[in-house]
Amino acid sequence: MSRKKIIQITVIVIASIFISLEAAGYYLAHRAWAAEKREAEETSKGSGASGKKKSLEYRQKLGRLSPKGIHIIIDTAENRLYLRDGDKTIVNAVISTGSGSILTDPSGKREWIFDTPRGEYAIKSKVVDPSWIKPDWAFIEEGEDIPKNFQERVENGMLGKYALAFGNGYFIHGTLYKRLLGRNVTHGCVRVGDDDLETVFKQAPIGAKVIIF
Amino acid sequence: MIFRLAFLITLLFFSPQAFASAQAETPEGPSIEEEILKSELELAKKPNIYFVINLKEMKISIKAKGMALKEIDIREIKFWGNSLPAAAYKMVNKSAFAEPRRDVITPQKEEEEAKKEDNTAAESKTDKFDIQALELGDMPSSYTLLFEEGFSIIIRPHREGFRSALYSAGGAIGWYLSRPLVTVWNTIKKRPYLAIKLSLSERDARALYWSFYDGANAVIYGP
Repeated sequence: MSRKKIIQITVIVIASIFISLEAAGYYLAHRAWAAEKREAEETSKGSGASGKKKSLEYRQKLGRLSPKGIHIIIDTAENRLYLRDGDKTIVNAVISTGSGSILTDPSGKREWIFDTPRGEYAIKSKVVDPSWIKPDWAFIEEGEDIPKNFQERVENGMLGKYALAFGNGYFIHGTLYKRLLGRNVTHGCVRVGDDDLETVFKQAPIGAKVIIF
Repeated sequence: MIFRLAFLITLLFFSPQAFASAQAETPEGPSIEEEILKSELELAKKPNIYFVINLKEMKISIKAKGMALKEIDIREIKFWGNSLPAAAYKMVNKSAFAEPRRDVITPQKEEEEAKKEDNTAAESKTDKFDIQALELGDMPSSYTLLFEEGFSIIIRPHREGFRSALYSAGGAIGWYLSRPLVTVWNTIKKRPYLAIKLSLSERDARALYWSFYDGANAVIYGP
């Protein structure tokens, strides 16, 4: 048998195997898909009116879970804060949220990740003219020694006119760095521009839901 | 070798299992809508963000407490293999070729800080400055979401233009040629196989990567 002939036969055999496997794959996928779809349709038919009633019940339960009054939604990807009353958006503010950076204590014992926490929270307290009680990381980041005296931790004017605490030391507050609004630059808190912050502070009561994603 | 393969393929076509699954009697149970809502209700009771991936209406919703926080349009869907029962699934990992890395802050002495502030002030004049942070633009737009139940969702950015169309056509050919082979392999291994590929706008793909955290739950249904 000539070399050319052998190559031809080899190519034909490989192509046949490939085509067969492809056909088998398509058939198997279609068969599985069709069987499961039929099964789903049958199940769907079987449930009838009782199923519709049950679905409606679930919808009503879901509806009852969503916040009804004033609540805050924070989009950390887009750096946006929405103050909403039910379905209506009252404020759509450009904000700054966590930088996601990591800081390690020079001793290596502690580490901070500056993310804005995600999930469901609530406004715990509201403060006018808040003072910033600088945590340890603020000194470490600036290469300063951590003070022993509490008064050395207190810094006024850094958090703007208002602050709303939503738990674990995180606040929605004002900022001196207005040109950084819209960027991820904070240590986890939510910075808001003056006008928007005032509206949020006045409208959102203690207990208002804060949903961060 | 050829005969063995042919035998295997014949066996796959005519296996009793093939007929069993087609002829199996379906018990009367809850409707798909009921299953979806029931699964969602369980997730909505928890104080976490969850996702609803509606392949039928080509929409991904980021939700909390039953409320849609953000909706993302799916531009294109490629679905292959076993259908996915409408239920909540847990994402265990996100995998990307170029995963974003967090910046590590180096503590600075006061002099260095002052120098940095000068630089920042200079940059602010042009209003173009880089910051030490993870932002939406740092997120990948091509990645895979891996679920605990063993299947994965491939996310790709939907781009316009001739080059992108060419790239997308190449991807489609690759997809439709490779999937049958993987299906045969999984059938031999007696494993269900499912592959989902979604095209989103580039920004939405990045936003979804940002929002999808390890351990996040998603109700997936359709198409």
